[in-house]
Amino acid sequence: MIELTDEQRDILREISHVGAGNASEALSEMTGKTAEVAFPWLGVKELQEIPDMMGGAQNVFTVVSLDVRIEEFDGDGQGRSTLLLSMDRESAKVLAEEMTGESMDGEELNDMEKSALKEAGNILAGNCMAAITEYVDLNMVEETPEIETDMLGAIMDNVLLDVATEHEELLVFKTKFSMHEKVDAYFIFFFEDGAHHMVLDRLAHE
Amino acid sequence: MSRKIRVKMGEYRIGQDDNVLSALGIGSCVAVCLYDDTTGIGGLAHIMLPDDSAQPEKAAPTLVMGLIQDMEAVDAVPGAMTAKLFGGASLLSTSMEIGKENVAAVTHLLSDQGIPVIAEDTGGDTGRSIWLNCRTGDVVVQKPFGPTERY
Repeated sequence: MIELTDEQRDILREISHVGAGNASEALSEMTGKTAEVAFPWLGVKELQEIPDMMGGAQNVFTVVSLDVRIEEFDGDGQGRSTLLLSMDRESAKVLAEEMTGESMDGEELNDMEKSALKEAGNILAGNCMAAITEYVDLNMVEETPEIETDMLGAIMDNVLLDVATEHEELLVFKTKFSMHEKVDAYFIFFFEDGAHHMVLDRLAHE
Repeated sequence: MSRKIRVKMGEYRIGQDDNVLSALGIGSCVAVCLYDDTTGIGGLAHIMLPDDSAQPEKAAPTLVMGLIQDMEAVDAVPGAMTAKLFGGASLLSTSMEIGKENVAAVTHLLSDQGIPVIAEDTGGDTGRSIWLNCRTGDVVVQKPFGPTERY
């Protein structure tokens, strides 16, 4: 069981707020459109509940997933975090269009659109990680993002697989981005492999 | 008992009559549908991992054996059971083999129990949602792009 003290919960809220704010600002800058961000949600979720909180296990979504390696500067402590940018197919198409400045035919995403969306994932991740490292003294290294369009549950099977061997539940941050009523995207991240201990222990020392 | 029963990752459930057991958005997971047409008792296990070394409660041995026992407990006959398998796909690049391992593990377990696999739609690179109709033993499979199929 992951249990949070009130103090930890407060600081995590603050971090997720700053992170989401930074990220939406960066996204607005890249696209020239205002990205609105909803009040972030923070809580502990069982693994099997996660696909439903992202839009429904059987619904087809485009998901950018990105792993972050979390390391202690002065020790060999290591952990991981996974970030997911998840949106319905129409939102994915519109966001890609905003990112590239080009409108492309076809329902499916082409390579250029895919890499634009991966870049959006990178930007969001980078900003969130920057917000966290303002509060905790940890090194965060982003790995290469991947993108997939399929049933959300099916994508999450593979994302959660690595987590499932060690965890029953995860500390999850979730927020929703909207852009001129045509883009709705969930942005979610969670800590794995001891990473939440590394982060939470440091918050307790604040 | 509610008519529709959703079976989430790492769970198994049984049903009969007008129950419909479903597993939604299966990727590398495997959905095992067991059906005894002499009693009309059906069961579905949603398996995440092939072996019980790490998290036994989400793995094939625990879930398949648990499902068979639960069905027996309500008088399903092991010798009359048949199996249908779905899932075991590979999405993203991180876990290429796990879907195949899940299918192999389940196939092996069922063969040990003498339960024949009479239909299968496994592998590939897309997700599936499946619904087991406990009145008929039929399974409807939906993939993200394309028509639904019946097994």
